[in-house]
Amino acid sequence: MSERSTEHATFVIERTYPVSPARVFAAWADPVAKTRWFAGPDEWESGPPEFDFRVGGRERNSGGPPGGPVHAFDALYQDIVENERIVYSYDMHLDGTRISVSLATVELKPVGDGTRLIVTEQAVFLDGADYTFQREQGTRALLDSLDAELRREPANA
Amino acid sequence: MLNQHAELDRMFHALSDPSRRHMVQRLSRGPASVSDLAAPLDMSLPAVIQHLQVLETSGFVRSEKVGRVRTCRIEPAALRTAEHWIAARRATWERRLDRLGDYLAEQDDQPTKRRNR
Repeated sequence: MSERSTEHATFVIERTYPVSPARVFAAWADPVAKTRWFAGPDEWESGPPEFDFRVGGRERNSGGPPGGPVHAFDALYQDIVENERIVYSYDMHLDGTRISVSLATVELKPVGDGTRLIVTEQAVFLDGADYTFQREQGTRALLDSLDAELRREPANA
Repeated sequence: MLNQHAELDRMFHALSDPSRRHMVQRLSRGPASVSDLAAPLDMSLPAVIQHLQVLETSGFVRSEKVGRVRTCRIEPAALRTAEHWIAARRATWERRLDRLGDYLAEQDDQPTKRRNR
């Protein structure tokens, strides 16, 4: 696709986990722990990751569905406050084409015995991205949100 | 907002049928002729064409007749908005944070790995 375009977006996702901020932070900071949950679905094939968790350090990984496009994630840690905050910038490549550049802020706040995790992503999406995978993801996300919405509605509505 | 809802209504309607979902799935891998689309489906060609019309109305699919062959393709415009980008990226985060929750819960089941005894 030769058409150039940019789309900016910001979104926030929050979760509460029943463990201390230190435990949640460790899951982000420890390379072995992080591979357990951060990367793509289990069925994805992935290349060797690079993980350097310190300000100025990089994290790189790539992978994708067998026979499908290769998704490459390349991050630079901008700010780390132990047990409280992680800020990193990253870009995503799909089969070698840069499709987005983002700033991600992860905040950990103690709530009772647990931790409130707040992820804020500010992104610029590049060139309209006529990419099958993204379309499928978007469609699947729509269907998921429909499913969630229907579960909230009373059956007799 | 209203427009967005109307658009979503049409899209969800289009996807509410398993045959149409199958067709969208097939087209998401690349353009196909009507007979290509019909081949794996157990239905008449006119029925396939009716389903295609619903998909075209929804904006998911467009088709073009060249000679005797009508070729269908996914219409990127329908799915090429910031909303869909965000939906895709959000979905990635949602799944990732679910896995983080599972991972943390597993750690909880293994007291030997606990940091604070």
